[in-house]
Amino acid sequence: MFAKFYDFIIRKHLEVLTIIFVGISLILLSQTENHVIFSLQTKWKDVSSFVEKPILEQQRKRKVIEENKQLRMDVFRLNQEISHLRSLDTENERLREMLGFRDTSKYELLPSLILYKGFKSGANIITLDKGRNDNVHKNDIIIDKDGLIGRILSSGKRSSISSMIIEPDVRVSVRINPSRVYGILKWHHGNIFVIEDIPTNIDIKPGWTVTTSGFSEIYPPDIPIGVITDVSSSENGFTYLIYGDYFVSFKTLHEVFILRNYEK
Amino acid sequence: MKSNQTNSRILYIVLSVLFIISAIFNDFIGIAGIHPDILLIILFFLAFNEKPVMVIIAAFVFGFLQDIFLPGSVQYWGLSPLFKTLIIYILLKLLPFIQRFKGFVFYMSLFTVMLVYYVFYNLLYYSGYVKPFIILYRYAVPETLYTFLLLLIINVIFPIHNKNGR
Repeated sequence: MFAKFYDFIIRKHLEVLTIIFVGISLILLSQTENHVIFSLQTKWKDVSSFVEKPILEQQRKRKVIEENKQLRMDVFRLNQEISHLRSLDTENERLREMLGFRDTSKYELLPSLILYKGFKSGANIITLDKGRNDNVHKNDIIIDKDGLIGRILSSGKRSSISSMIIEPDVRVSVRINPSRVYGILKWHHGNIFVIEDIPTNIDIKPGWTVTTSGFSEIYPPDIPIGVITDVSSSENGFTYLIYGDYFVSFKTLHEVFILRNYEK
Repeated sequence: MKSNQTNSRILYIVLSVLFIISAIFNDFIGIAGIHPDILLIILFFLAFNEKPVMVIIAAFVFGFLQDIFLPGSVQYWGLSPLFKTLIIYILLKLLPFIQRFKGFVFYMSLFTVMLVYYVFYNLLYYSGYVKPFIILYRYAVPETLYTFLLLLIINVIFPIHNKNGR
């Protein structure tokens, strides 16, 4: 019996090997977050970042010059807006003091360069050039000037791996403003998100903004995410299907900020 | 015979260097988000020059290496070893037939195997988010063309079609 089995294994060794490898691959596929692989990836990026970083820095310099021209124009436009907002801020402060509110934002922004943006287009993993040496840890939040990008999955000494919120499995607790309705946001496709299960008796309009709710253990409140573009009724008629565009253009990201020392 | 072995070694060194370069400079070698799969090229060369058991082990290990060094998506770890193992198994089974072909038909058969790999890999990778037809013309065909073109260039220096067989 054993001899027959042994003969079979020897005769069909290629098929047996293939089945074993396919089995291992399927086990790997069933695990969403494998921390052994995370640590291997961060260690590799720690090594390769030595070579990648100088080239990326050069590219960045060229881009910065281009951006600088654009920013000069933006500064002029924004100065006008600031003067208007200052007057509103003073009024807001006065009203907050009257209500006993305090400023709760204690964010420290750490600029970081993207070293790697995924093997394929549409990938939702990025590698950043900051790691544990810069006090970057798992679940630190990544943003850019427009809004939320994602969170750190694993940090090495000099680099860290992060996932973006345009991952199919990611859900973010959000607040729709100005109605202050809470919902769960998920990626739909491209740069579009969807929020479901909001009752139709609540007023929601295109053009309203979506921010983090603060109910999540990971994401702090009031980080901009996107703007609503389409509000339609779901098949059951009781809830909305709310579509919107992310503020962040995930395809063109080059630099990000890591939020540290915020109050989770 | 000895010259063949030396050639093979040089080829594998060249391909390994190419893989390291592609792993480090992945963003730079991409054209409109399309990247060549150097490891798949190495596997094609291995399939024609090494023992089947070695090649199938290499297919799994290379797929695993791709997931570690060139991660794409958190929820698809294991997809590369899965499809690399399967396509190399199919290639090994078809090898006796493919080796009979010459010239254009030979290269077209390699192209077809490569295309099958990319079609199935991308169909799963983008499943539910991109329409199958778009997957075909936006990802599968361009990636196959880019990788196959690179294979042809390497093939000019180190011919893949080893007439002496393994």
